[in-house]
Amino acid sequence: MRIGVIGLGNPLQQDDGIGIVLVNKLNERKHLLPSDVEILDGGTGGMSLLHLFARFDVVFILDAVNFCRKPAESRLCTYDELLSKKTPITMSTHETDVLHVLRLAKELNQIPEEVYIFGVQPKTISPGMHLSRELQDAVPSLVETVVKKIVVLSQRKKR
Amino acid sequence: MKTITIDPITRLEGHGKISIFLNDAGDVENAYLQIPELRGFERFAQGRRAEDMPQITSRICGVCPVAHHFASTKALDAAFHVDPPSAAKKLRELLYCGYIIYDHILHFYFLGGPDFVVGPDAPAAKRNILGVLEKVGLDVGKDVIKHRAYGQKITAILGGKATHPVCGLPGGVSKGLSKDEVIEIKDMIVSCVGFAQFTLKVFDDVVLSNKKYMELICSDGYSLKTYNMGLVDKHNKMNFYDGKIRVTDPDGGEFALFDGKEYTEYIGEHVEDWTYMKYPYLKKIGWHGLHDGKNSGIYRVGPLGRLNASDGLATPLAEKEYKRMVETFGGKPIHSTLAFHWARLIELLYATERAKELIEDPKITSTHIRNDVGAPSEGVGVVEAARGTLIHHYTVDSHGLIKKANLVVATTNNAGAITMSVRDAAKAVIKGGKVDEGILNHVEMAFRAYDPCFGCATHTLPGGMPMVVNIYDSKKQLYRRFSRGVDE
Repeated sequence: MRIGVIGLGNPLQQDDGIGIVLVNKLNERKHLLPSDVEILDGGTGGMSLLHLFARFDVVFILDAVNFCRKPAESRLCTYDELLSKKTPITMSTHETDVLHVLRLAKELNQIPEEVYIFGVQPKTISPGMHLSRELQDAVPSLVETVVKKIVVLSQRKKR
Repeated sequence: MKTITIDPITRLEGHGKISIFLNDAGDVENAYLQIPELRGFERFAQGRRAEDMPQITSRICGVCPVAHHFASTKALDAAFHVDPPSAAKKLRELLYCGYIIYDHILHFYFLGGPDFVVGPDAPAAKRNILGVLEKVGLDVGKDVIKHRAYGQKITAILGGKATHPVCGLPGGVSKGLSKDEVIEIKDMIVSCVGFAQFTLKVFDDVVLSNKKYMELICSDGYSLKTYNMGLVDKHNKMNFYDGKIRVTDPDGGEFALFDGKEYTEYIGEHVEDWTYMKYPYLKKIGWHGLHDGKNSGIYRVGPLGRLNASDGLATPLAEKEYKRMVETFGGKPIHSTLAFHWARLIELLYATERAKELIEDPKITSTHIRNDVGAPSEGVGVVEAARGTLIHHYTVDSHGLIKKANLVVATTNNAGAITMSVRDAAKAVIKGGKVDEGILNHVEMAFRAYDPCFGCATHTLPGGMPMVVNIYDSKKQLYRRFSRGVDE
């Protein structure tokens, strides 16, 4: 079982880079994660993500997602839930990209068995390399949450 | 006085906007293209550590991170007065070839090619990679994905990261190649050479042997007689990674040949009051409005610009294809905008052949991959991004911090030409106020040929980029509106 934890976003656009910040923090705590987990910085990769996704059985995307909540609130959903449009969700600056790539991956039969998106509500998206205070303060607890979810996912998959 | 403000709407949505103005008869009076950019970057860079710039600038854009990474690294080589060891230059160029391979494949099969493979009049829902796969077969589709992934993998092995490389340092690279990696990369490249040849064959079968397409390609609406620009080596052969900037005139004669650091002597930037976009032009000719011809300083960059500005390609298979293209169009320079597609595939073949030469070079595994840097001052770095000439220019203070940064990006270099191509195509197809989706696509094809990039990862997929077209009547009232790939 190969699990890919892929951070997306642009760290030059403040909170849009939360996925990349989380990936960097996770890399520092790699020892807490199961060995079948690979952590990757997907940036604003667009189509390149298709090839990254194809390498894994399970993909866990970390990204800034606007679901009209308070800044730094997070939420985990599956690809199917995201596509069902039951939830009013827009991904941030690269909004169309990842969903289109996932749709295309599905059409091409290159989609991992399971795709999860861990979205964090951004506050400020404008040029700058620092997170907003709200998101900055939430980083430690967001990292904890992500680690727990990945560990659970990996154990469930091993059963 | 120019005021730069950052417009959050265009920046976030990142879509292009075409405004077409009709006259009383319903024919096209004029058309304008606006491309949103990540503006204010120059100010953003001030005070940052110079050695962070290759990482920071590679984040500007998810479409050409490698081009920004190396334009930046080369600007730092110059600013820190250091010439990288030959192995480092080879590793950089090899990585660069990987980028051209995946980017040019993307354009042909996903973005621009569907117009031809599926057809310019096919419904929008079909004009994408899935439509292409339907036409060429799923096995070919698997090959497309496989070879695009190879290009990506080559850049990841050499660049140290999946999307945004981190290997470039002033004076060299941070990572060499192991013998195992050489074997892995070589196998992928050999396969890519074959795939590039196959793709040119597809272009032959689908486009060149179709009389209707060739008429379209050669028609006046898609022709622009501008100057052309691109990097060339010392034999005036096209080069992506290094060399001098060469400019040829609309008749094909050499107009200028200069070092990147001299770019401000040759390139001026004109500002119009209706757009934030800058229009670069050749200073010695001057800005004379949106016109083509020898008396207008507007030039083209990108695949066709490069092939027009050079005396061909330095690898045998690509050179053969290049000669065939020149012959087909009855000599150089080639002014047909849609010939960008052919030029792009010839460059794809060149990139694979050049990558093969580099990986077969026994010195590529040398461990001498970095030289010591000197005291920093000022530097210019130029590379050929997939979509054209890209210039980074930094002034660095004695603490190694950026004092001033200026970026001239590929799509900006093409701004004048793209605007004219859109206008001319609109004039050719919109008559008597009749506009529909099919006609819109013919206008879109004019700018898609250039593979413009809207700043920050805004290529939407599948099938094109977000775009709004507003058509105004003679009283400047909105008459029709089309949009594609834009959530409204």
